[in-house]
This record gives sequence, C-alpha cells and structure tokens, in this order.
Amino acid sequence: MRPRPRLPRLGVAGWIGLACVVLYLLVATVGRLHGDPVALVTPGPEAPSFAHPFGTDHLGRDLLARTAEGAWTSLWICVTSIGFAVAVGMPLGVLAGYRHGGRLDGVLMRSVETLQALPQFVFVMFLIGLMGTADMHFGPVTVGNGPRVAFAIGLGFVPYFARVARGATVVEMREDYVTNLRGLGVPTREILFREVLVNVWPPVLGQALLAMAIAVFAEGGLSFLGLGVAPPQATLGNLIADAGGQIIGGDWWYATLPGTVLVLGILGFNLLGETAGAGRPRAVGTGPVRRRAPEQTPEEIPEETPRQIPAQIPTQIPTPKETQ
Amino acid sequence: MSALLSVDGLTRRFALPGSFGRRRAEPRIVPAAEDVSFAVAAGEVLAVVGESGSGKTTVARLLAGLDTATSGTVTVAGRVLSGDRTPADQRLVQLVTQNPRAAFNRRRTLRHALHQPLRVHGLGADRAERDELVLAMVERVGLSADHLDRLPGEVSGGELARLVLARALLVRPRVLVLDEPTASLDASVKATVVNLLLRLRTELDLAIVVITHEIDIARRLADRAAVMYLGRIVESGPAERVLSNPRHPYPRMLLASVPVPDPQRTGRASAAALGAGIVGEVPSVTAPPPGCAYHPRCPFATEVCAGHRPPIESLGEVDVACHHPR
Repeated sequence: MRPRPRLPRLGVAGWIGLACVVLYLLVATVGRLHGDPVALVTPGPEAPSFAHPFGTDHLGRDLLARTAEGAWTSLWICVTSIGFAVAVGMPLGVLAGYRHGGRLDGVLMRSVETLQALPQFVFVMFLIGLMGTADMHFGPVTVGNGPRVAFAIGLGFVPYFARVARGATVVEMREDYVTNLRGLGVPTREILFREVLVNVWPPVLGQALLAMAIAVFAEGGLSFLGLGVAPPQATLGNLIADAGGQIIGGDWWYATLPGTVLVLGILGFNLLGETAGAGRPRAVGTGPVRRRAPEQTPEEIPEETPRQIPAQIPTQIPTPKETQ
Repeated sequence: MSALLSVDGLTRRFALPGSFGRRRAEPRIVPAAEDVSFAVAAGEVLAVVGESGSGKTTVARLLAGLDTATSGTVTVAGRVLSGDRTPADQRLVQLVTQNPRAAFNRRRTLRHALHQPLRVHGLGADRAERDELVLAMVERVGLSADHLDRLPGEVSGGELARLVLARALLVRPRVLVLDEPTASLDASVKATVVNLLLRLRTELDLAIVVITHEIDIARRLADRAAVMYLGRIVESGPAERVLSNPRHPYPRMLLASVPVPDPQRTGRASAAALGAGIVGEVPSVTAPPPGCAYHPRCPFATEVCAGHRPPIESLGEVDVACHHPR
C-alpha cells in the first residue's frame, strides 16, 4: 500500500485560516460550557474578569456564554444554509453541465440566474420580508426564525454552486476518460455520479468554504438589522447590534469581543476556502489545468468554460447534429 | 477466411452549427467519413493511415459505438451493430484512445478502473473472482499487482498505456480499435507496446484496427493497410504493398514524406524529388474538391480527375480509387 495520510498542503494563508476556524469552533462548542447565556449574573455591565472572561452586558448577562451561544447559532445556520445550497445547486449544475449547450442547460441556468438578479443580501432580506420574522406554525411543528434564515441564505447561494458544478462538469465530460468509460459500456448514471462527481466535488467544496464566510457575515448582518434570530436568543449579529449603544458608555468589550469572534469565523472560512479553491493538486499532465485566480471572491466567479468556437475538425464539434 | 469485423459503406456527416444571424444559410456539412468499407479477420491487424483530418478518428468512434453513422453498417461476428448498442454489443468492440494519461479518472485508483468494466458487464461472479481476472490480465500485459493500488498520476506513461489495453481487454472484446496507440509514447515504450499488441493478437485471436499516422508503426504491426484521404479510403490492400509501393499518388506522397534515417541523405524532403511537386495542405473539409478529392495536390491530375470521382477498382492485390494509378 502507498503511504496515504500526509499533511494537507495548505500554505501560510491556509494554516492561518484553519487556526481561525478552529478558534471559532472552540468558542462555539467549549465556550458554551461556560454558563447560561440568559442568566443575570451581575447587576450591570462589568469589564472582563477571571469569572467572566468576556465581561457582562448591560443587563448583566455573561458575554462569553452569549458569544458562544451566538457563534453556535451562526454556525448551524451557516452549515444548514450551505448544505441546502450544495444539495440543490450541485445536482442542478451537474445536470446542466451534462446537457451542456442543450435546452435543459439553458432553462436551468437561466432560471438559476434569475435569483442572481438581486444582490444576494438584498434577495435574502426580500425572502425574510415575505416570510416574516415571527414563529410559523405548521400543525404541531413550529418553525422558528433560524431555519427560515438558513433557508433564505441557502436559496441565495444556489446559483453559485450550480455554476461551479456546471463548469466543472463541462470540463470533465470532455476528458478522455469519459469517452473510454462510455466505450466500455459503463452506464451514463454511473459515469456521472461515480466518476465525474468525484472531480466536481473539490471546486464545490472550496466554494462551500468561501460561502460559509459569507453566510456567517450574512447571518450577522440580518440579526444586526433585526431580521434574523430574535433576542433573547443570542447570535453574533444581535449581540453586536445591542452593543452599538453601549460603546459610547465606554463598554469596549461588549462589541469588540463578539466582533472578534465574528471576524475569526469570516476570515477563517475565507482563507480556508481560498486555499481549497486555488491550489488544487492535480495528477501530473492529466487534462486541462483549471484556470482559477486564487483571489477570486464568489461574487465574481466566471463561467468556468466559455462555449467553444466550433472547430474546423469535425470530430471536435461539441454537439454534432446529424444530417442525412 | 471470413471476416470477423466488416464495415460496409460507413458514412458520417457532421453539420456545423450555424453562426448567429446566419441561421437560414445553407448548413455547412463536414463529410468526416464517406463510404468507408473494409473487413478484418480474426488475428489480423488493419492499419488505417492518413493525415490529420482524414476521418481516421471518426471511423474509430463509429466502430466503438461512440457515435452514430449517417449510413452504412458495422458487423462484428455476424451481428450488425448500431450506434446505440446494448451492453453486450458494446463489449464486442473496444476503443483505446490516444493519450493513456487522460484515459483514466485521475481520482480513482487503477484497481477501481479495472474492476469497473467487469462489474458493469457482470463478468466474474464476485469480488474475489473479479480480482483474479484483473490480476491475470495485468500480468498478461506485463505489470504486477503493485500497480493496482496507485492513482493514474503515480504510474508511468508506458505502464498506463498497457493498463488501458488491459482494461479494454477485460471485457473480452472481439475487435480492438487503437487510436494512435503510440503517438504520445517515447521510442522504447513504443516498442514495448507494439510487441505487446503483436503477442495479444495471436493469443486472443482479436481483429485489430490501428489508426495511426506513423508509417513505421503501421509497417511493423499491420497485415493489411488502408489509406484515407478526406474521409474516403483511397487505397487498401496487403500492408507490405500499400505501405511500400502504393499505386495511388496520395500514399506515394505520404510515404515519400517519411524522413529516412540516413545521414548521407540531406537536403529537401524526397516528396519533392519524387515529382510530387507541391506537397500542400489538406483542403477545406467543409468543401472538399469536386471529382477526385486529391486532384488539387496531385502531380498526375488531368481533366477527368477534376470532373469525376474515381471508383474503387481492384488492381491485383490492392484496391485503388484513382484514374491514373501508378
């Protein structure tokens, strides 16, 4: 057997990103053990001390517990929303990429692009506006605002994943190994989902980490505006919103410490996503090198493969039409 | 000797997609293969040679069922194969593509790659039996089990070329189509692959079609040869005749263009010395010249060549499509 486990080649930025993400996750998990996020533990705001490392807020609640609670809420909302976006966007993209240039490709991609007509954050606010922020009741099931925020953010991300998956699929479908598998009689289903998909995953994963950063940011922004998860449940966004009025009073820790955790999350996922998306190690000399600028943000992801100009040589025409 | 593979009047025309604003214009048609017919017996090797754009690869894809012919038939062991084949029919003809580096999925192990065709076609009852079949085949092409647990990127080009062959042979095909099998290999590996092919042909009783533009490889491998020009076969027959003393001016020019490794001979390519005059470029494939497609480049062309397409005629051992065979 070949030696399989080796340290991932992350680079400086990647390791910094990983450290940030680990810190963020530590706050979101271990920090939650610190205490009750809604219990009133001091008579008023207190600066960080040994008993309350992040200080307490204007009502006397422990800020470490609240920040941990907030980080945890943000985390699950982001993971759910990105999971939803990948689960919906990736199959659409793979399907569109498989039918590259066909009618289905056009219909799928144009309808997905309709979602992108509005800036993403505005689109999410529009969705929340439609759904409202009060709890929804479906018979015995009560849906709080958290899942709906996750859904709204997730829907806003579907186009990105559909595009990335489509681009990667189009590239893969042109590779020789697909021709070989078809020649061997391997069914299309198996080629798509067992062979092509393993090569579509890595760019989608890189994209997912980048999107995580934006989702943390979006959730924070929504809660800051009062459109996200409502108090008393803490999120990083509504903590910072509450803190806004207190800065003038000299309570520096109130906004700074939850803010730092938010920055850790955004920065960490972003750096990690950059690393995963850029320095893709490929087996030597197989197929075309994916052209992808390392400093790409999700807002400016181009279609990975532009339509090819029909070549003069007949065997290279992408979708030959038959003539009699 | 009855033919294992016979191809009759195989034709494939591609329509070029019209550009925007020219939708209504006459669609441009590329006749990639026109009326291609040949037969290959079991244990026989046919070399198809020609320049780029002569339709060699199109013929290979049609044989392997990766494309549907506009007209004409492919018959293997008495079964007429269409473009849309059942899994059992798909097995009969196996295509080996040009670049062994790209022929395997770079993220799946070679073991997976070799097991897959067996599993798909239900060959070998269980995993253990498939393992044995794979191992036997890998050893047959001169490799060992160590190669199986690697990724394609971790194996050398020559080994990959043999593994591609092994994968194709695992489904027990009757016909093997090799598209430029040696084009991307270096000289020593080329020799290994050629010798392997010669051995396999007798061991497995395969009909082999080798698509190539390397005349020396074709000479070494083939029993019979067919020369294609702009989608048509212009001359076919025993390899030693066609690849050394052809009757059609096009293969004559082609052979004369092969550099001779003789340090005493310097100066211009012998094609010019042959009197073939302008070696020239292949004409546009969308508008092949009328009459004999070769006449604009042919030093022996006359009026009749421009007006009438020469039929394929039998001249002794070889079949030639030319008004003025040499």
